[in-house]
Amino acid sequence: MPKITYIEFDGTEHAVDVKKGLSVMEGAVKHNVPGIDADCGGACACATCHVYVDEAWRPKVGDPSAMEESMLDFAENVEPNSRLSCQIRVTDELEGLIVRLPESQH
Amino acid sequence: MVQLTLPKNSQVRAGRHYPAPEGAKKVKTFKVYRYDPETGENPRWDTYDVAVDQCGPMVLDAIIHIKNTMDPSLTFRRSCREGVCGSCAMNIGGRNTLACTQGWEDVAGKDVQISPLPHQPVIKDLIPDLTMFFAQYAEIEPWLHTDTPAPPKEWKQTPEDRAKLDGLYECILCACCSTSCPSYWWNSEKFMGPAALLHAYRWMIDSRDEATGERLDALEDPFKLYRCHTIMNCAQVCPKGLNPAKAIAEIKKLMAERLV
Repeated sequence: MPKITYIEFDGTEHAVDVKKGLSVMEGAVKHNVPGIDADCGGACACATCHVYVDEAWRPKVGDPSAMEESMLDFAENVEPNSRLSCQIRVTDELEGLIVRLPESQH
Repeated sequence: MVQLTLPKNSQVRAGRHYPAPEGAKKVKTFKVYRYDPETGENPRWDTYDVAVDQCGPMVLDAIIHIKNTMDPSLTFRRSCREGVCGSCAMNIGGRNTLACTQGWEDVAGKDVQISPLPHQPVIKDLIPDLTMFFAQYAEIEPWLHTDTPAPPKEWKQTPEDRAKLDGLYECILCACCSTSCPSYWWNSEKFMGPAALLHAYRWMIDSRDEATGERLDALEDPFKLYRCHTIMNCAQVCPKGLNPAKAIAEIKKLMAERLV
């Protein structure tokens, strides 16, 4: 199972093993990582699972789709490396992925 | 999707099966959520094979037929049977809607599955406890607020100002929208929900109302208004074709406008 590291806004790190096929958001919710709300349950409809993808990982994670990009407009403090974590599918390729969480999802 | 587990006493079990009467020409199966708090038993799915050739075309016709001819214990709210009272809102085939305006033939899937509106306490069978929903409606003070002395006759309004209420006044408070909203599911004590907010906006833009500022003040906190993340389930399910999410967006605009 790929290991994913979630770093909270205050610097607290959570390194957890996430089953392939889940989304990065689901990995956080299943392991009780605080800071990802995911109100809509993973439907790319609420922008409350906003994460910043570590610069080194951006090429592998890829860019958001048009739908995700329009949804990101509703998030706060969006940066070029912002993604909605419900739209990142966990694969072997993402072993070691690091994402940082924003100060707030609301 | 995130998998959540229900508490043990809420898990729905298989229930009774009621076969169709002999000689039924056309049969449709209805799977109905049943719960009676007085028995202390878990909720269950009862299955009714309904002779739909003997009842009307709507889901409400079918469940009235069930109550009259198959199982008088089935409990649900209904009144006008024509989509103006909002009493018979329930989850039909996975979607919140009014049983009286939803044809059973139009429900997706082979069987018609019916449960109460989601994420509300269940009083019995298909009857949710909407106490909080109506308390939130009361909180937005859904009546005209004025400082100007009342005119000798009625408060007047231009046709243009009256037209601003279209798409808002039609709401029948059936609760389909609020109970389909994930933000409302997770924070129903603090987030007002789409129905109450649509009504709040209906009074804010009423040309006769003089309390827009106070109405905005009352919603100025991190939860009451701003927990709407435009998921849009409200607009998708509204049986009257209204768009509560748009009304909420308009309130957010009014909030922003008074800051600049």
